Amino acid sequence: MSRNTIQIVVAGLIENPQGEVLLIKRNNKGTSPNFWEDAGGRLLQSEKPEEGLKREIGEETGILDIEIVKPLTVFHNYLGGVKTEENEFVGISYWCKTKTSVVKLSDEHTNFQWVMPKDAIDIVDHPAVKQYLKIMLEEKRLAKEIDLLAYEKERLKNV
Amino acid sequence: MSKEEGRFNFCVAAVLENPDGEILLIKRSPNNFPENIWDIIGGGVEQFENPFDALEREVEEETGISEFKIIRTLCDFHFYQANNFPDMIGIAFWCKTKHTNVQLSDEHVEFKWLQPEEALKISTHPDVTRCIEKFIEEKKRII
Repeated sequence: MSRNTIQIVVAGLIENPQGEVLLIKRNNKGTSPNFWEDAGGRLLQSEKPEEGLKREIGEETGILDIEIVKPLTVFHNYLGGVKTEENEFVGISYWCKTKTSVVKLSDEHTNFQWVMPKDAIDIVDHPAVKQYLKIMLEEKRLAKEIDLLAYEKERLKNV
Repeated sequence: MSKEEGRFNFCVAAVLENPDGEILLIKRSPNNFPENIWDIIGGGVEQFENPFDALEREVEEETGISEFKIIRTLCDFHFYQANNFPDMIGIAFWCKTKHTNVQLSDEHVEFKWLQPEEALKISTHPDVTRCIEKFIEEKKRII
């Protein structure tokens, strides 16, 4: 049985000991110019998701001490918003922790800020990132069941 | 982002819990690789299919259950498949249903609703075991 293949994007909400998350601002080239987002990118062939996530975080922020707490949710989308096999990807967002607060950006990004997750929701530009920031806040509240399907439906309304 | 990005098979899986706190394990048929193991529910996401739609489709195909809630994401998994097949990457969710009537497809031969600790005892596949362990861990976080 042959199955279709897809690209996989991994993204990390990195939390510091103060409970703030790291947002980085894209440069003005390429897709989503000047967007505020979290660190992440596409997996290379044969790469494990957690390896790829740590590699991307290292490349984009210089942060090497990363503890991956857990995956938060998945999201499905098309690069550039154009529905083709080549553009299709599935994203996995992770909740991560670090003790580092020094950030060294690559030339893909021009600025960064550490902000509380509830404030980050209004700053980030991708609807998917807004959704998984909310899911991260729910995860931190522990004693509550999360209805992930409801979040997905809300996200799709905003795409 | 100019390096060679990989292409993967992506799958979704469900640790499905009933109102008694039992979870559903289904036994793969002899011609359904990895054959004869006790598995959780799940399968491949198709081209242009939303992973959440895929999860609903797989749960219904494999158990006949069409109503459930997704409570939390549990864990990811990754394995190298046989030669000439791309790597499989997947994600497992904790799902809850009110239904306990199960109608298997021909991919499976048997099912059991089990307390998670009992399910761990009969699981022989490391990824299935890890999903059940994550389920137990996540459930403890909800008071």
